[in-house]
Amino acid sequence: MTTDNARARFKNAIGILVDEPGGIKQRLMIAYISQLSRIDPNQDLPERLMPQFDRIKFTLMTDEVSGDRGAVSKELEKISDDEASQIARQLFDMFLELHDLKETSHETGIDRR
Amino acid sequence: MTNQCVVGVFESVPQAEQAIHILDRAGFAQNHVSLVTRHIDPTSDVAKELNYGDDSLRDAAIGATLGGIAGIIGDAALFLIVGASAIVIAGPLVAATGMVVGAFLGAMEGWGVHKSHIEKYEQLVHEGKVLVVVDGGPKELAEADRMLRQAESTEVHLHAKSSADAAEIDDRP
Repeated sequence: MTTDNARARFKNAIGILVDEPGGIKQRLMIAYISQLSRIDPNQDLPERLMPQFDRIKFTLMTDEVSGDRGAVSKELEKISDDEASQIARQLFDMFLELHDLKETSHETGIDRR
Repeated sequence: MTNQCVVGVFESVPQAEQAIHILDRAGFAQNHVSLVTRHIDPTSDVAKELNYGDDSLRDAAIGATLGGIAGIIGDAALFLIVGASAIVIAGPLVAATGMVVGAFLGAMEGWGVHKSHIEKYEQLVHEGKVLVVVDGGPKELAEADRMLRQAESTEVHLHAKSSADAAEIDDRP
């Protein structure tokens, strides 16, 4: 297994979340459809990140009532901006972890002080 | 030229624009993505993006909206023939722009779209729906199909010509 695809997709997705104009839901939709939906968790992700990724995928693509897979845009209509921001933060954490930056970022924060 | 395409149907230009933006972010080449609509706002994102792309097309698109028909057919027809990214307008200028849209939708036959479906798409455009058409290889189209479904499309169809008279391999409602 290689995480190259996931690393590249997460990097692009974070770029979209940061750069794109528009609200958080719109940015999340573009990042998810254009990048993250192209990740196969079983092939591309380390096992420790699979459950978190699956939860995000479920939130963005599955109708909670019927259980059917729905359009990302429709599922996003059902969540608040705060929830969308929380998902974005989770994606950023996953990005840091995939790129082995999690510890480094904390150290960098400490160094700046 | 590829002989297959995916057609996504959208309720509005902004929704179609968003789908095009997603495809762009996913790395789809602009010259494989087309938008077909009855009308376009000259100040919309699509019109603005055209400013950075093909000026003649932008002028043609905006010109068509404003009623400045001179030269539109030439630019648009050439644009369609070379297969570049297209905005096709079936506006109030029925005779002229109708020909342009007709030419584009006719060209879709070369992408594996059966005549009966072309007529349906023509009807949808006249009703105010917006089409996003992506042509390319099987792998790209599978991706485009999935992305258009996840965006705000009302329907998405995958068309492919498998032989001279076999219209499609897949046409999901």
